[in-house]
Amino acid sequence: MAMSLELRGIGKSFPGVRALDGISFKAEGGRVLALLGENGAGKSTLLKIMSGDQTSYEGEIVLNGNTVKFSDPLAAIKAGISIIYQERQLMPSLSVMENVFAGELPKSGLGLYDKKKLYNDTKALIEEFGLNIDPNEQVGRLNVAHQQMVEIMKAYRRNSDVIAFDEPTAPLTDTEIKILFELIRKQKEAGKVIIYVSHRMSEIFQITDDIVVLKDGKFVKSLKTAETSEPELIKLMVGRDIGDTYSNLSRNENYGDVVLELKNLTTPYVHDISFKLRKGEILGLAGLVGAGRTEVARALFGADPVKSGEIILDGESVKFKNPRDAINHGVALCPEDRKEQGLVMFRTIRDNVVMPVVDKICGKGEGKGVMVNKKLMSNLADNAVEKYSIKTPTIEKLTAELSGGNQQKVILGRWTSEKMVTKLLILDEPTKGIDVGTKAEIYQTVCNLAKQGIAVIFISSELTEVINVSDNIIVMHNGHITGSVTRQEATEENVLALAMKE
Amino acid sequence: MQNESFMKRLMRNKAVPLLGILIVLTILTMVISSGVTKGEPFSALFSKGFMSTGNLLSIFYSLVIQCAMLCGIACILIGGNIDLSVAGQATLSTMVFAWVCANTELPWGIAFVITLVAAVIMGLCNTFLVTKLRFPAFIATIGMASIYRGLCSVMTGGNNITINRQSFLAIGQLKIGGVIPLTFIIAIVLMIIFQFVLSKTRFGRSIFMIGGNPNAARLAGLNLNRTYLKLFVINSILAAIGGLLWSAQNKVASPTSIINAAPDMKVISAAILGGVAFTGGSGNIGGPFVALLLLNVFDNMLKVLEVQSYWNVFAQGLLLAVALVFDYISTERRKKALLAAQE
Repeated sequence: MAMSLELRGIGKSFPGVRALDGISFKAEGGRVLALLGENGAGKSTLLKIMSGDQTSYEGEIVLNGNTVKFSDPLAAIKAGISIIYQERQLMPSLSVMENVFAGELPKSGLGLYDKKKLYNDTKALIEEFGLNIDPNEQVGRLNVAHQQMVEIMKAYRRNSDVIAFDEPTAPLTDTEIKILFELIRKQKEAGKVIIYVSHRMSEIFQITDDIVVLKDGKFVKSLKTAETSEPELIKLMVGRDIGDTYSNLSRNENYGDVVLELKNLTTPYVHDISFKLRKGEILGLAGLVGAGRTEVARALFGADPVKSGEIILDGESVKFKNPRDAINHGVALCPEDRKEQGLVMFRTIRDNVVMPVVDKICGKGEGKGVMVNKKLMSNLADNAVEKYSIKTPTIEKLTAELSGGNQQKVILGRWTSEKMVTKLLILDEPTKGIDVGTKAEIYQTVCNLAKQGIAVIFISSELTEVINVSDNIIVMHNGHITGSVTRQEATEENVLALAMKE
Repeated sequence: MQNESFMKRLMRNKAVPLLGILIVLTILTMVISSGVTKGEPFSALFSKGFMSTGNLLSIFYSLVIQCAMLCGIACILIGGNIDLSVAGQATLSTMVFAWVCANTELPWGIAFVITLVAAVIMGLCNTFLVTKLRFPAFIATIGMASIYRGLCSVMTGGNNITINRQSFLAIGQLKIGGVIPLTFIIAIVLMIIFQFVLSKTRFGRSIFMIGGNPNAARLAGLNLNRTYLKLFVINSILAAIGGLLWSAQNKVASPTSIINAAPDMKVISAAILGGVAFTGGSGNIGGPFVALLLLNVFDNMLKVLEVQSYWNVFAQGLLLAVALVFDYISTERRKKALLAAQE
């Protein structure tokens, strides 16, 4: 019987988010199926369900005609599904061969393993891949491309019926990509089911046969690669209704002087970043996950080292040693991970608001004195609650008990309290996991801050949002700026095209 | 096979500089505390009896229980966990053994089996807390250590139990060739077995994989909880064996002595000084054994030279701090190297 993998009505909910909803499609053996969708469309979640990593979901998985349900990753591997994860899952201090055969070291009786066979099998595999790696080498000492190839070998050597690749080419160079595509063709000829997730359009057209497009966790369309085109796919990926949310925003019209200028900023993660930002302007940073947007923010906030280039803040060239330094210069960051990096979840709203200004609210509030002035603390927090209409009975409430939107407002309140002198506010995914109604409130809040003369950098993976809230949009890909557009010029199509530009 | 030379691999091992420091420190102490005043280094080592057979033998005796504990601790650390209740488990095991011997007519072989069962139960308790209730191992095992030691004191109201089974005590007194204690041989054999298990068996390699990257190991189909279970239970059995060897040497089970004779911290210090990564994923038994030996020589020397014993505590703490700093630096360096490779 021919190999096949069919998904029937797969659904998955996380607290507050419907990640997948009624996904159904069938992947045939001997064909390569591309899973396509924007960030957050649900591709990775779908792969995690197929691989037994996520075990609670709705719907069923039918493998080679039989319904299967995996209790853990081992069950999925045994059933014949292997995944190559986007985040490499390697053990850096162990050898290449032990990584490749982890979980299935060749036996040689009495609990021992056959080191010779392990070496030879790995060697054969490396030769089949046409690479030059020593099976005994520590994986942590390989370059990233080779590490990725080890990750691929891990799944390849299992000879599974279904192999899914999640963005496999991101860390690879052309040489390895060629090798990988050759391997995929071989597997295809052997009748295997190949699922291929990638943002690179050229690859999709090069090696896939079928395409399934997902959007916001829902199935959009299934098509044959030969019968479609890049513009059509992009339209399918983004096409959603834009409501009145954005047209109703009351925006800032008057920009001041240039507050921030980046000149060829280069860090270990991003290259040659240059742009200017004026007072009261909202600058959007768009791009796919991993494009380097967060890394630009981290460099601006003194969290990543600057290798070369210049940051000019208020006409003065600055070099931040650490976030404290950046804060003192008037830079504030609302990080992507609100719960881990933004808030101290099990402290009160008051404590979270005053966090960066504790030394300014001692004594009578002039920064002198040892004891914290509790009244002043409460005043700051009360003002934040009022200013952003945070829904809470008291500032003594723990931030963990607030909704996502209100949590985000607490962070905004922190960076804009009277004791702060914020000139530049960086918002990294400020509406992640926040419901639609509150999103609109956050957008208006951001516009209001701009009206007060604060320069805002708005980072978002949601295209609609970033192109409609920002005044100007910079698009990044792979650590570089690939283009910039104004709000008037921006469409989801042209921004996505820039974000995928090679 | 393009193997690196032995020397090169040796130099990359982070245990080497640490053990070097330890050796230098030991020699320095010898020189300072014995020789400086008289202008004759090392002389006091002989005059005060450090080099006497009796004293050297006492070092071997004190090493026995620590070596047994080391085997278990090293495996647990490599697997990315920690157990701070080993000395407590060893103590409770000896108390169970001595109690059965004193209050029943059962042969000591049966008492031994009962002790092992008790040890397995202790291991299961630790596993339950760590894998089922998901307590951090650090907290869970500190708590359990207190429970185990409390139970020991409750059993006898804080008193020792004398062991009077001659055939059992003989194990502790027997010397092979009239020189080397049998108990020490047993400890060495245990260490050789565990070095072998770690480097040559499928189970041993899975410990490294799980300690090196638990998520990767899980996604590769390894069963984490089952491995943790095995590790904790093996560790408990080793603690029991170590405790019994100690009791055979000292003819007694005591609710308080083992924690002083073989503190968990000392064994963990030795493991880290000897190259076991505190965060898991790398290490062996040989390096830690050398570190343990040096720590005991250092310890003993200070005693013989009549250096105030508080300095000893101070020095051991300092060594652990140095070892942790080294461990941290080498982890950071590896991270940086990985980062550099990403560019």
